[in-house]
Amino acid sequence: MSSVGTTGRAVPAGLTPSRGPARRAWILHGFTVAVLAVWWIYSQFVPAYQLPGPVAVARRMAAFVYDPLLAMQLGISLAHATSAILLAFVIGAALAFSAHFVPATRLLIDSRTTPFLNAFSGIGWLFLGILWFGIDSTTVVFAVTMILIPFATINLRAGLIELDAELMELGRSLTRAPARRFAKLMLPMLVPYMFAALRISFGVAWKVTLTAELFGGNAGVGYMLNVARQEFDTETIFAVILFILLFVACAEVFVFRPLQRRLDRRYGID
Amino acid sequence: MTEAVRTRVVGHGLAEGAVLLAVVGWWLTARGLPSFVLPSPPEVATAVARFGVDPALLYHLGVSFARVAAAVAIAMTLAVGLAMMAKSSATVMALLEQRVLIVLNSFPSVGWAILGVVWFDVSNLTVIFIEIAIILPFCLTNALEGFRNIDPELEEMGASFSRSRLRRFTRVTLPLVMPFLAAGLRISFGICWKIALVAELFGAQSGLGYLMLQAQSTANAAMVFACCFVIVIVVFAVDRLALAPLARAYSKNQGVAS
Repeated sequence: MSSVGTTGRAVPAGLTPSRGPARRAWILHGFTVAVLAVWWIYSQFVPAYQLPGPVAVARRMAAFVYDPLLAMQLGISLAHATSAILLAFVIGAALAFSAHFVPATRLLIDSRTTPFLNAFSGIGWLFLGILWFGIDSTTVVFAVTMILIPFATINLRAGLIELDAELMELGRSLTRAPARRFAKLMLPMLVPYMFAALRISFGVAWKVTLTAELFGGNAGVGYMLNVARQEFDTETIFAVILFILLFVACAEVFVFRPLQRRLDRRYGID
Repeated sequence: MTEAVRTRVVGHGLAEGAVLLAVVGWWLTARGLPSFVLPSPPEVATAVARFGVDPALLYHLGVSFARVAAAVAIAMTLAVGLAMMAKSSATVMALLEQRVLIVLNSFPSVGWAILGVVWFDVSNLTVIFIEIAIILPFCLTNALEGFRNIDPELEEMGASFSRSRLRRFTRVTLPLVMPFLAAGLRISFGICWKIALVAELFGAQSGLGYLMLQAQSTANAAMVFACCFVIVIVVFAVDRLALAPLARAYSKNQGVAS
């Protein structure tokens, strides 16, 4: 089950750095340009509601930048995603720690609760949320939280299982205060797993928050997508998707990857 | 020893007890609520049981299953193909990691669903396309990781035993990457049922997603619950009966165990 963690792992750069990283960078940018060119050429032959050209989409994106509406909707979606990630992390951590510290609950959590939550349909949570809370932000946060909890539990459980027993013993010989051992030894050793849990949650949260907003929300980017979909406004759909892509990719490249590299160095993970 | 035995007994008691308690608590809560808010356990159990006898429901379940199976198979094959290309060329590897995966990883699943319907109309192939697009990053990440972890010396050894590429692939390369592919299969099969079912909300007139949407819009909460439980059962059953044994058969201790 810990294999879920592999999706959040940092990826080392290519294996042969000697053959000119500059040339590779050119090829990468060339690829981007080629994709844009193919998109542009293809968009000339199909109706705009099927595939708007890159220029039209860029113009729509620029219009959104000056429009406070999209910024606000994006902020609402961000708030939905963040609160769900934090809630799921707290609940998932509570489950993982209780399985670790109270052995009697281990079977209940490891082989009943977690697998059940892990197999439960995200769409199901969403529809149940709509039935219970109606169409609003509670439904969105509820559904996304329920989807994310197993990711947090599985990662933290993996961390707790991997804890070095000898280091724990060393801790016991240094202090008798369990709270001190927990804060000074256990938590720092769990940092990579907590980070992995947050990183995976962030990625999954963005994918499902939009779905939840589309069906069960009355605000946010997903709601905007639904309106655009009903009006066959494909330009807006593309613009929204590209904004999300930019946002998530930037978070990944500028926040998560550097942090992961630092953690890998700090914790000597190869 | 007795301590361990006691923990196990208490653990089992707590595990089954909590499940029982959850069902009883659900039943008691449901008695005070209308069934479109919270249906009682017997109602849901009846709806789940209908999946076993009602051919229409069985058809929806079968259609969803066939689509998921096709999507997982195609996505995995695609991922293995791409990963093999990436293995022989560092440029392809960089392209996949720094362009394709970044885009696929951050693409919202509902975006694929909407675009799929706009591009290809409503059909089985549209649903499969959307599901492939959603699970491909998970397959690809695992396949790349698997091929990256191959010990080059083992491949060299393989090359010294046989010149047939196919033979080397099936006898050396495939068993070496199989643990990663099995993990990828388990993850993507689960994701496909849990999240990619959104494809059937937009792009289909059949399947469990469609059934759930119908049930939700007619406030048939028992059916929504039943669909969720049927999905849990299917994911559990396939994972236990097919995917977990597959992962075990190719686990790294294989040689030691047998």
